Amino acid sequence: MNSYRALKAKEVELALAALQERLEQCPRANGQHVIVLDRLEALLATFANELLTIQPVIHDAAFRSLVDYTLNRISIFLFIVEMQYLRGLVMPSSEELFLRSILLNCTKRLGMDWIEDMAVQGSGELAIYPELANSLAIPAFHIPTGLLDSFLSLPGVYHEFGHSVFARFPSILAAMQQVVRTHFQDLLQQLGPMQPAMRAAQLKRFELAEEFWTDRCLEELFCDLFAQCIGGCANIVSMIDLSMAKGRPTYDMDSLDYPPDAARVRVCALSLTTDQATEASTKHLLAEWEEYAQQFSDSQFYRDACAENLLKQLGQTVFAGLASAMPTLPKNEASPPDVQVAFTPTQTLSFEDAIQQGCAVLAWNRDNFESWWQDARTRLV
Amino acid sequence: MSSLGQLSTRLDRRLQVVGELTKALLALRAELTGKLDALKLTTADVDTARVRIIEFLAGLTSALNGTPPASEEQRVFLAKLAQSGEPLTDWAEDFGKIVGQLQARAPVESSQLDKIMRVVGFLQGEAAEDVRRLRSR
Repeated sequence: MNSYRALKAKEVELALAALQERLEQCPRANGQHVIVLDRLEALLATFANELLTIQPVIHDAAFRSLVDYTLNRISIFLFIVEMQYLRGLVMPSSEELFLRSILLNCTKRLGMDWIEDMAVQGSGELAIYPELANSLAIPAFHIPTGLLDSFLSLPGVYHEFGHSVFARFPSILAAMQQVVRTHFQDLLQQLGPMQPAMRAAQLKRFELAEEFWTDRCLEELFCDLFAQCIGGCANIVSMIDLSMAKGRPTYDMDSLDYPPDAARVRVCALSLTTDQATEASTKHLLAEWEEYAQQFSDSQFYRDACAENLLKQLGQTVFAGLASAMPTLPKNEASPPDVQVAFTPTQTLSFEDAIQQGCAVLAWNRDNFESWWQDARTRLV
Repeated sequence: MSSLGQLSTRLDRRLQVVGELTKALLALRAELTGKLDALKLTTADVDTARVRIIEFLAGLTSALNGTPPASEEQRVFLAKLAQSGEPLTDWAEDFGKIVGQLQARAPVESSQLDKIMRVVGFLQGEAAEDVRRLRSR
Protein backbone atom coordinates (compact mmCIF):
# COMPACT_ATOMS: atom_id res chain seq x y z
CA MET A 1 0.00 0.00 0.00
CA ASN A 2 1.23 3.50 -0.81
CA SER A 3 1.04 6.40 1.59
CA TYR A 4 2.95 9.58 2.23
CA ARG A 5 4.34 8.09 5.41
CA ALA A 6 5.68 5.06 3.58
CA LEU A 7 7.41 7.32 1.06
CA LYS A 8 8.80 9.55 3.79
CA ALA A 9 10.04 6.59 5.80
CA LYS A 10 11.93 5.34 2.76
CA GLU A 11 13.46 8.76 2.18
CA VAL A 12 14.59 9.02 5.82
CA GLU A 13 15.95 5.48 5.67
CA LEU A 14 18.06 6.34 2.62
CA ALA A 15 19.31 9.61 4.11
CA LEU A 16 20.25 7.78 7.28
CA ALA A 17 22.14 5.08 5.40
CA ALA A 18 23.99 7.71 3.33
CA LEU A 19 25.00 9.62 6.44
CA GLN A 20 26.14 6.42 8.14
CA GLU A 21 28.32 5.66 5.12
CA ARG A 22 29.85 9.14 5.12
CA LEU A 23 30.67 8.90 8.81
CA GLU A 24 32.31 5.52 8.26
CA GLN A 25 34.57 7.12 5.66
CA CYS A 26 35.74 9.93 7.96
CA PRO A 27 39.47 9.78 8.78
CA ARG A 28 40.37 8.59 12.27
CA ALA A 29 44.14 9.03 12.07
CA ASN A 30 45.84 9.03 15.49
CA GLY A 31 42.52 8.48 17.23
CA GLN A 32 41.30 11.80 15.94
CA HIS A 33 37.54 12.41 16.27
CA VAL A 34 37.10 8.79 17.33
CA ILE A 35 34.78 9.62 20.22
CA VAL A 36 32.70 12.05 18.14
CA LEU A 37 32.38 9.51 15.35
CA ASP A 38 31.53 6.66 17.71
CA ARG A 39 28.83 8.73 19.40
CA LEU A 40 27.34 9.90 16.12
CA GLU A 41 27.33 6.37 14.74
CA ALA A 42 25.65 5.09 17.88
CA LEU A 43 23.01 7.81 17.59
CA LEU A 44 22.30 6.94 13.97
CA ALA A 45 22.04 3.27 14.92
CA THR A 46 19.27 4.11 17.41
CA PHE A 47 17.42 5.93 14.62
CA ALA A 48 17.79 2.93 12.33
CA ASN A 49 16.19 0.87 15.11
CA GLU A 50 13.35 3.35 15.54
CA LEU A 51 12.65 3.19 11.82
CA LEU A 52 12.44 -0.59 12.04
CA THR A 53 10.17 -0.36 15.07
CA ILE A 54 7.56 1.86 13.41
CA GLN A 55 7.62 -0.07 10.12
CA PRO A 56 4.65 -2.33 11.01
CA VAL A 57 2.36 0.63 11.80
CA ILE A 58 3.36 3.05 9.05
CA HIS A 59 0.03 2.52 7.26
CA ASP A 60 -2.03 2.35 10.43
CA ALA A 61 -4.27 5.41 10.87
CA ALA A 62 -4.18 5.05 14.66
CA PHE A 63 -0.42 5.66 14.63
CA ARG A 64 -0.27 8.47 12.08
CA SER A 65 0.88 11.29 14.33
CA LEU A 66 3.32 9.05 16.16
CA VAL A 67 4.88 7.99 12.85
CA ASP A 68 4.99 11.61 11.67
CA TYR A 69 6.71 12.84 14.82
CA THR A 70 9.20 9.99 14.76
CA LEU A 71 10.14 10.58 11.12
CA ASN A 72 10.32 14.31 11.66
CA ARG A 73 12.53 14.01 14.71
CA ILE A 74 14.92 11.63 12.97
CA SER A 75 15.08 13.98 9.95
CA ILE A 76 15.96 16.89 12.23
CA PHE A 77 18.78 14.94 13.85
CA LEU A 78 20.16 13.91 10.46
CA PHE A 79 20.12 17.56 9.43
CA ILE A 80 21.93 18.56 12.63
CA VAL A 81 24.64 15.94 12.21
CA GLU A 82 25.09 16.93 8.59
CA MET A 83 25.20 20.70 9.20
CA GLN A 84 26.96 20.91 12.53
CA TYR A 85 29.41 18.04 12.47
CA LEU A 86 30.10 16.46 9.12
CA ARG A 87 32.18 19.16 7.46
CA GLY A 88 34.63 19.22 10.35
CA LEU A 89 34.92 15.44 10.26
CA VAL A 90 35.13 14.55 6.57
CA MET A 91 38.16 16.60 5.60
CA PRO A 92 39.30 18.79 8.50
CA SER A 93 41.78 21.52 7.59
CA SER A 94 45.05 21.87 9.48
CA GLU A 95 43.66 25.05 11.10
CA GLU A 96 40.54 23.19 12.27
CA LEU A 97 42.63 20.38 13.71
CA PHE A 98 45.04 22.78 15.41
CA LEU A 99 42.19 24.74 17.00
CA ARG A 100 40.42 21.55 18.01
CA SER A 101 43.46 20.56 20.01
CA ILE A 102 43.74 24.05 21.56
CA LEU A 103 40.04 24.11 22.45
CA LEU A 104 40.07 20.60 23.92
CA ASN A 105 43.06 21.54 26.07
CA CYS A 106 41.14 24.62 27.17
CA THR A 107 38.15 22.56 28.30
CA LYS A 108 40.48 20.36 30.36
CA ARG A 109 42.11 23.34 32.06
CA LEU A 110 38.70 24.84 32.79
CA GLY A 111 37.52 21.58 34.35
CA MET A 112 34.80 21.00 31.75
CA ASP A 113 35.36 17.27 32.07
CA TRP A 114 31.98 16.38 30.60
CA ILE A 115 33.37 17.27 27.16
CA GLU A 116 35.02 14.17 25.75
CA ASP A 117 35.74 15.19 22.17
CA MET A 118 34.84 17.91 19.74
CA ALA A 119 34.41 18.60 16.05
CA VAL A 120 35.67 21.98 14.85
CA GLN A 121 34.59 23.41 11.54
CA GLY A 122 35.33 26.70 9.85
CA SER A 123 31.93 28.11 9.06
CA GLY A 124 32.38 31.85 9.26
CA GLU A 125 31.22 32.55 12.79
CA LEU A 126 32.29 31.88 16.33
CA ALA A 127 29.62 29.60 17.73
CA ILE A 128 29.02 26.32 19.50
CA TYR A 129 26.49 23.53 19.13
CA PRO A 130 26.87 22.29 22.69
CA GLU A 131 24.28 19.58 23.15
CA LEU A 132 23.28 16.66 20.98
CA ALA A 133 20.73 14.02 21.93
CA ASN A 134 20.77 15.04 25.57
CA SER A 135 24.56 14.86 25.79
CA LEU A 136 27.12 17.61 26.21
CA ALA A 137 30.01 15.24 25.51
CA ILE A 138 30.70 16.07 21.86
CA PRO A 139 30.02 19.71 21.02
CA ALA A 140 30.50 21.06 17.52
CA PHE A 141 32.54 24.24 17.55
CA HIS A 142 32.29 26.71 14.68
CA ILE A 143 35.09 29.11 13.93
CA PRO A 144 35.56 31.94 11.48
CA THR A 145 38.43 31.45 9.07
CA GLY A 146 41.51 33.08 10.57
CA LEU A 147 40.10 33.14 14.11
CA LEU A 148 43.57 33.63 15.58
CA ASP A 149 44.04 36.76 13.46
CA SER A 150 41.09 38.39 15.25
CA PHE A 151 42.81 38.69 18.58
CA LEU A 152 40.19 40.86 20.27
CA SER A 153 37.49 38.29 19.60
CA LEU A 154 39.38 35.38 21.18
CA PRO A 155 37.78 35.63 24.65
CA GLY A 156 34.55 34.92 22.75
CA VAL A 157 35.69 31.29 22.82
CA TYR A 158 34.90 31.27 26.56
CA HIS A 159 31.51 32.83 25.90
CA GLU A 160 30.79 29.88 23.60
CA PHE A 161 31.99 27.36 26.20
CA GLY A 162 29.66 29.16 28.56
CA HIS A 163 26.69 27.69 26.69
CA SER A 164 27.87 24.22 27.60
CA VAL A 165 28.39 25.22 31.25
CA PHE A 166 24.94 26.82 31.34
CA ALA A 167 23.34 23.63 30.03
CA ARG A 168 25.36 21.52 32.47
CA PHE A 169 24.33 23.46 35.59
CA PRO A 170 20.65 24.45 35.42
CA SER A 171 20.83 25.61 39.04
CA ILE A 172 22.65 28.73 37.83
CA LEU A 173 19.71 29.73 35.62
CA ALA A 174 17.36 29.15 38.54
CA ALA A 175 19.50 31.42 40.72
CA MET A 176 19.56 34.14 38.06
CA GLN A 177 15.79 33.93 37.65
CA GLN A 178 15.42 34.31 41.41
CA VAL A 179 17.61 37.42 41.39
CA VAL A 180 15.42 38.98 38.69
CA ARG A 181 12.20 38.08 40.53
CA THR A 182 13.46 39.44 43.84
CA HIS A 183 14.74 42.64 42.25
CA PHE A 184 11.36 43.51 40.77
CA GLN A 185 9.45 42.40 43.87
CA ASP A 186 11.61 44.79 45.88
CA LEU A 187 10.85 47.61 43.44
CA LEU A 188 7.13 46.95 43.84
CA GLN A 189 7.40 47.04 47.59
CA GLN A 190 9.26 50.33 47.46
CA LEU A 191 6.45 52.05 45.59
CA GLY A 192 4.97 54.71 47.83
CA PRO A 193 1.37 55.92 47.86
CA MET A 194 0.24 57.25 44.48
CA GLN A 195 -2.76 57.68 42.23
CA PRO A 196 -4.17 54.33 41.02
CA ALA A 197 -3.54 55.18 37.36
CA MET A 198 0.06 56.09 38.07
CA ARG A 199 0.49 52.95 40.13
CA ALA A 200 -0.90 50.83 37.31
CA ALA A 201 1.55 52.45 34.89
CA GLN A 202 4.47 51.77 37.22
CA LEU A 203 3.42 48.16 37.67
CA LYS A 204 3.23 47.73 33.91
CA ARG A 205 6.71 49.20 33.52
CA PHE A 206 8.18 46.77 36.04
CA GLU A 207 6.28 43.87 34.52
CA LEU A 208 7.69 44.59 31.06
CA ALA A 209 11.18 45.05 32.46
CA GLU A 210 11.00 41.72 34.32
CA GLU A 211 9.67 39.95 31.24
CA PHE A 212 12.66 41.21 29.28
CA TRP A 213 14.86 38.76 31.20
CA THR A 214 13.90 35.64 29.31
CA ASP A 215 15.91 32.45 29.70
CA ARG A 216 17.60 33.30 26.40
CA CYS A 217 18.78 36.71 27.59
CA LEU A 218 19.90 35.28 30.91
CA GLU A 219 21.83 32.56 29.08
CA GLU A 220 23.72 35.07 26.95
CA LEU A 221 24.44 37.23 30.00
CA PHE A 222 25.69 34.14 31.81
CA CYS A 223 28.03 33.34 28.90
CA ASP A 224 29.43 36.88 29.00
CA LEU A 225 30.04 36.49 32.72
CA PHE A 226 31.59 33.06 32.28
CA ALA A 227 34.02 34.59 29.77
CA GLN A 228 34.60 37.43 32.22
CA CYS A 229 35.40 35.00 35.00
CA ILE A 230 38.07 33.29 32.87
CA GLY A 231 39.21 36.21 30.74
CA GLY A 232 39.31 39.11 33.23
CA CYS A 233 40.57 42.32 31.62
CA ALA A 234 41.04 40.64 28.23
CA ASN A 235 37.33 39.87 28.15
CA ILE A 236 36.46 43.49 28.88
CA VAL A 237 38.47 44.50 25.82
CA SER A 238 36.61 41.89 23.80
CA MET A 239 33.20 43.06 25.07
CA ILE A 240 34.06 46.66 24.23
CA ASP A 241 35.10 45.51 20.77
CA LEU A 242 31.85 43.59 20.40
CA SER A 243 29.90 46.73 21.22
CA MET A 244 31.91 49.31 19.29
CA ALA A 245 33.01 47.38 16.20
CA LYS A 246 29.50 46.62 15.02
CA GLY A 247 28.18 50.13 15.61
CA ARG A 248 24.96 48.80 17.14
CA PRO A 249 23.07 51.26 19.36
CA THR A 250 24.31 50.35 22.81
CA TYR A 251 20.90 50.50 24.48
CA ASP A 252 18.98 48.66 21.77
CA MET A 253 16.46 46.37 23.50
CA ASP A 254 15.00 44.83 20.33
CA SER A 255 16.88 41.52 20.32
CA LEU A 256 14.93 38.57 21.68
CA ASP A 257 18.13 36.65 22.26
CA TYR A 258 20.59 39.14 23.72
CA PRO A 259 20.65 41.83 26.38
CA PRO A 260 21.66 45.22 24.97
CA ASP A 261 25.38 45.77 24.46
CA ALA A 262 25.44 48.37 27.23
CA ALA A 263 24.22 45.83 29.78
CA ARG A 264 26.67 43.21 28.52
CA VAL A 265 29.69 45.50 28.81
CA ARG A 266 28.54 46.91 32.16
CA VAL A 267 27.82 43.55 33.77
CA CYS A 268 31.36 42.46 32.92
CA ALA A 269 32.86 45.76 34.07
CA LEU A 270 30.97 45.48 37.37
CA SER A 271 32.52 42.05 37.88
CA LEU A 272 36.11 43.25 37.65
CA THR A 273 38.19 43.02 40.81
CA THR A 274 39.45 46.31 42.24
CA ASP A 275 42.93 45.66 40.85
CA GLN A 276 41.52 44.97 37.41
CA ALA A 277 39.16 47.94 37.43
CA THR A 278 41.90 50.35 38.41
CA GLU A 279 44.49 49.04 35.96
CA ALA A 280 45.38 51.96 33.69
CA SER A 281 44.69 50.39 30.30
CA THR A 282 41.38 48.79 31.34
CA LYS A 283 40.25 51.97 33.06
CA HIS A 284 41.05 54.01 29.97
CA LEU A 285 39.26 51.64 27.59
CA LEU A 286 36.15 51.56 29.77
CA ALA A 287 36.09 55.36 29.93
CA GLU A 288 36.39 55.45 26.15
CA TRP A 289 33.52 53.00 25.83
CA GLU A 290 31.34 55.02 28.24
CA GLU A 291 31.94 58.05 26.05
CA TYR A 292 31.02 55.99 22.98
CA ALA A 293 27.87 54.64 24.68
CA GLN A 294 26.69 58.12 25.59
CA GLN A 295 26.20 59.04 21.95
CA PHE A 296 23.16 56.73 22.05
CA SER A 297 20.37 57.59 24.39
CA ASP A 298 19.11 55.02 26.78
CA SER A 299 15.42 54.52 27.40
CA GLN A 300 13.25 54.16 30.47
CA PHE A 301 12.83 50.53 29.44
CA TYR A 302 16.62 50.03 29.52
CA ARG A 303 16.92 51.78 32.88
CA ASP A 304 14.12 49.63 34.29
CA ALA A 305 15.33 46.31 32.90
CA CYS A 306 19.08 46.76 33.21
CA ALA A 307 19.51 48.77 36.39
CA GLU A 308 23.07 48.70 37.63
CA ASN A 309 22.21 47.05 40.95
CA LEU A 310 20.38 44.24 39.13
CA LEU A 311 23.34 43.69 36.79
CA LYS A 312 25.69 43.65 39.75
CA GLN A 313 23.57 41.10 41.60
CA LEU A 314 23.36 38.92 38.50
CA GLY A 315 27.15 39.05 38.18
CA GLN A 316 27.67 38.12 41.82
CA THR A 317 25.14 35.31 41.56
CA VAL A 318 26.80 33.83 38.48
CA PHE A 319 30.26 34.03 40.02
CA ALA A 320 28.98 32.39 43.20
CA GLY A 321 27.19 29.72 41.16
CA LEU A 322 30.35 28.99 39.20
CA ALA A 323 32.44 28.79 42.36
CA SER A 324 30.01 26.22 43.72
CA ALA A 325 29.43 24.20 40.53
CA MET A 326 32.99 24.33 39.21
CA PRO A 327 35.27 24.80 42.24
CA THR A 328 38.44 24.23 40.18
CA LEU A 329 37.55 26.78 37.50
CA PRO A 330 40.61 29.01 37.08
CA LYS A 331 39.12 32.43 37.78
CA ASN A 332 41.10 35.41 36.50
CA GLU A 333 41.25 38.03 39.23
CA ALA A 334 44.58 39.58 38.29
CA SER A 335 45.47 42.68 36.33
CA PRO A 336 46.98 42.03 32.90
CA PRO A 337 50.56 40.79 33.25
CA ASP A 338 53.53 43.07 32.90
CA VAL A 339 54.38 43.32 29.23
CA GLN A 340 57.89 41.98 29.95
CA VAL A 341 56.30 38.65 30.92
CA ALA A 342 54.98 38.31 27.39
CA PHE A 343 58.45 38.66 25.94
CA THR A 344 60.01 36.16 28.32
CA PRO A 345 60.52 33.03 26.21
CA THR A 346 58.57 29.94 27.22
CA GLN A 347 58.24 26.64 25.44
CA THR A 348 54.48 26.55 25.54
CA LEU A 349 51.75 29.09 26.15
CA SER A 350 48.22 28.33 27.28
CA PHE A 351 45.34 29.97 25.42
CA GLU A 352 44.38 31.78 28.65
CA ASP A 353 47.88 33.18 29.19
CA ALA A 354 48.19 34.12 25.51
CA ILE A 355 45.04 36.22 25.73
CA GLN A 356 46.22 38.04 28.85
CA GLN A 357 49.73 38.61 27.54
CA GLY A 358 48.46 39.70 24.14
CA CYS A 359 46.29 42.36 25.74
CA ALA A 360 49.30 43.66 27.65
CA VAL A 361 51.37 43.75 24.46
CA LEU A 362 48.56 45.51 22.60
CA ALA A 363 48.26 48.08 25.35
CA TRP A 364 51.91 48.79 26.06
CA ASN A 365 54.04 47.54 23.17
CA ARG A 366 51.67 47.63 20.22
CA ASP A 367 54.40 48.02 17.57
CA ASN A 368 55.72 44.59 18.46
CA PHE A 369 52.33 42.88 18.72
CA GLU A 370 52.45 41.27 15.28
CA SER A 371 55.85 39.63 15.76
CA TRP A 372 54.95 38.65 19.33
CA TRP A 373 51.71 36.99 18.23
CA GLN A 374 53.32 35.26 15.26
CA ASP A 375 55.74 33.63 17.67
CA ALA A 376 53.27 33.08 20.51
CA ARG A 377 50.69 31.25 18.39
CA THR A 378 53.26 28.59 17.47
CA ARG A 379 53.65 27.88 21.20
CA LEU A 380 49.92 27.70 21.95
CA VAL A 381 48.69 24.66 23.80
CA MET B 1 29.36 35.22 19.04
CA SER B 2 26.10 33.83 17.81
CA SER B 3 22.82 32.61 19.17
CA LEU B 4 23.52 29.05 17.97
CA GLY B 5 24.45 27.97 21.50
CA GLN B 6 21.12 28.80 23.08
CA LEU B 7 19.15 27.75 20.01
CA SER B 8 20.76 24.33 19.90
CA THR B 9 20.30 23.64 23.59
CA ARG B 10 16.64 24.59 23.37
CA LEU B 11 16.11 22.50 20.25
CA ASP B 12 17.84 19.50 21.78
CA ARG B 13 15.69 19.66 24.92
CA ARG B 14 12.53 19.93 22.83
CA LEU B 15 13.53 16.99 20.66
CA GLN B 16 14.36 15.02 23.77
CA VAL B 17 10.93 15.63 25.30
CA VAL B 18 9.13 14.98 22.00
CA GLY B 19 11.15 11.77 21.52
CA GLU B 20 10.45 10.44 25.02
CA LEU B 21 6.75 11.24 24.88
CA THR B 22 6.36 9.86 21.36
CA LYS B 23 7.97 6.57 22.39
CA ALA B 24 5.79 6.39 25.49
CA LEU B 25 2.62 7.12 23.53
CA LEU B 26 3.64 4.55 20.92
CA ALA B 27 3.80 1.90 23.64
CA LEU B 28 0.44 2.93 25.15
CA ARG B 29 -1.25 2.95 21.75
CA ALA B 30 0.31 -0.38 20.86
CA GLU B 31 -1.15 -1.83 24.02
CA LEU B 32 -4.53 -0.29 23.28
CA THR B 33 -4.62 -1.67 19.74
CA GLY B 34 -3.04 -5.04 20.53
CA LYS B 35 0.08 -4.30 18.54
CA LEU B 36 2.73 -4.79 21.19
CA ASP B 37 4.17 -7.88 19.50
CA ALA B 38 4.18 -6.29 16.05
CA LEU B 39 6.16 -3.38 17.43
CA LYS B 40 8.39 -5.71 19.46
CA LEU B 41 7.36 -3.96 22.66
CA THR B 42 6.88 -5.61 26.04
CA THR B 43 4.60 -5.00 28.98
CA ALA B 44 7.67 -3.59 30.75
CA ASP B 45 7.88 -0.98 27.98
CA VAL B 46 4.24 -0.13 28.63
CA ASP B 47 4.91 0.25 32.35
CA THR B 48 7.81 2.61 31.61
CA ALA B 49 5.62 4.53 29.19
CA ARG B 50 2.87 4.86 31.77
CA VAL B 51 5.32 6.30 34.29
CA ARG B 52 6.68 8.81 31.76
CA ILE B 53 3.24 10.01 30.72
CA ILE B 54 2.04 10.26 34.33
CA GLU B 55 5.11 12.34 35.16
CA PHE B 56 4.55 14.58 32.15
CA LEU B 57 0.83 15.10 32.70
CA ALA B 58 1.14 15.58 36.45
CA GLY B 59 3.66 18.38 35.90
CA LEU B 60 1.56 19.96 33.21
CA THR B 61 -1.64 19.71 35.23
CA SER B 62 0.07 21.37 38.14
CA ALA B 63 1.19 24.22 35.87
CA LEU B 64 -2.32 24.48 34.43
CA ASN B 65 -3.60 24.84 37.97
CA GLY B 66 -1.34 27.80 38.63
CA THR B 67 2.00 26.43 39.81
CA PRO B 68 4.81 28.37 38.09
CA PRO B 69 6.06 26.39 35.04
CA ALA B 70 8.96 24.14 35.98
CA SER B 71 10.58 24.23 32.56
CA GLU B 72 10.73 26.18 29.34
CA GLU B 73 8.77 23.35 27.68
CA GLN B 74 5.93 23.73 30.20
CA ARG B 75 5.80 27.44 29.36
CA VAL B 76 5.37 26.51 25.69
CA PHE B 77 2.57 24.07 26.52
CA LEU B 78 0.76 26.62 28.68
CA ALA B 79 1.01 29.34 26.03
CA LYS B 80 -0.22 27.03 23.27
CA LEU B 81 -3.04 25.58 25.37
CA ALA B 82 -4.12 29.11 26.26
CA GLN B 83 -4.18 29.95 22.54
CA SER B 84 -6.32 26.90 21.81
CA GLY B 85 -9.35 28.74 23.12
CA GLU B 86 -10.45 25.94 25.43
CA PRO B 87 -10.42 26.80 29.13
CA LEU B 88 -7.21 25.74 30.87
CA THR B 89 -9.29 24.23 33.64
CA ASP B 90 -10.84 21.81 31.11
CA TRP B 91 -7.41 20.66 30.01
CA ALA B 92 -6.33 20.28 33.63
CA GLU B 93 -9.44 18.22 34.40
CA ASP B 94 -8.94 15.97 31.37
CA PHE B 95 -5.27 15.41 32.11
CA GLY B 96 -5.99 14.78 35.78
CA LYS B 97 -8.47 12.09 34.76
CA ILE B 98 -5.94 10.43 32.45
CA VAL B 99 -3.32 10.46 35.20
CA GLY B 100 -5.80 8.77 37.50
CA GLN B 101 -6.54 6.07 34.94
CA LEU B 102 -2.87 5.44 34.23
CA GLN B 103 -2.08 5.28 37.93
CA ALA B 104 -4.89 2.75 38.41
CA ARG B 105 -3.58 0.87 35.35
CA ALA B 106 -7.04 1.28 33.87
CA PRO B 107 -7.28 1.40 30.07
CA VAL B 108 -7.05 4.81 28.44
CA GLU B 109 -9.12 5.66 25.40
CA SER B 110 -7.80 6.47 21.96
CA SER B 111 -9.20 10.01 22.20
CA GLN B 112 -7.29 10.54 25.42
CA LEU B 113 -4.04 9.52 23.77
CA ASP B 114 -4.92 11.86 20.89
CA LYS B 115 -5.30 14.67 23.37
CA ILE B 116 -1.80 14.08 24.77
CA MET B 117 -0.47 13.76 21.23
CA ARG B 118 -1.95 17.14 20.42
CA VAL B 119 0.03 18.67 23.26
CA VAL B 120 3.22 16.95 22.13
CA GLY B 121 2.51 18.41 18.71
CA PHE B 122 2.84 21.91 20.16
CA LEU B 123 6.43 21.20 21.13
CA GLN B 124 7.10 19.43 17.85
CA GLY B 125 5.93 22.62 16.12
CA GLU B 126 8.31 24.72 18.19
CA ALA B 127 11.17 22.36 17.36
CA ALA B 128 10.31 22.72 13.67
CA GLU B 129 10.48 26.50 14.11
CA ASP B 130 13.91 26.18 15.75
CA VAL B 131 15.06 24.09 12.79
CA ARG B 132 13.79 26.77 10.42
CA ARG B 133 15.92 29.30 12.30
CA LEU B 134 18.87 26.93 12.18
CA ARG B 135 18.47 26.46 8.42
CA SER B 136 18.24 30.20 7.81
CA ARG B 137 21.56 30.90 9.53
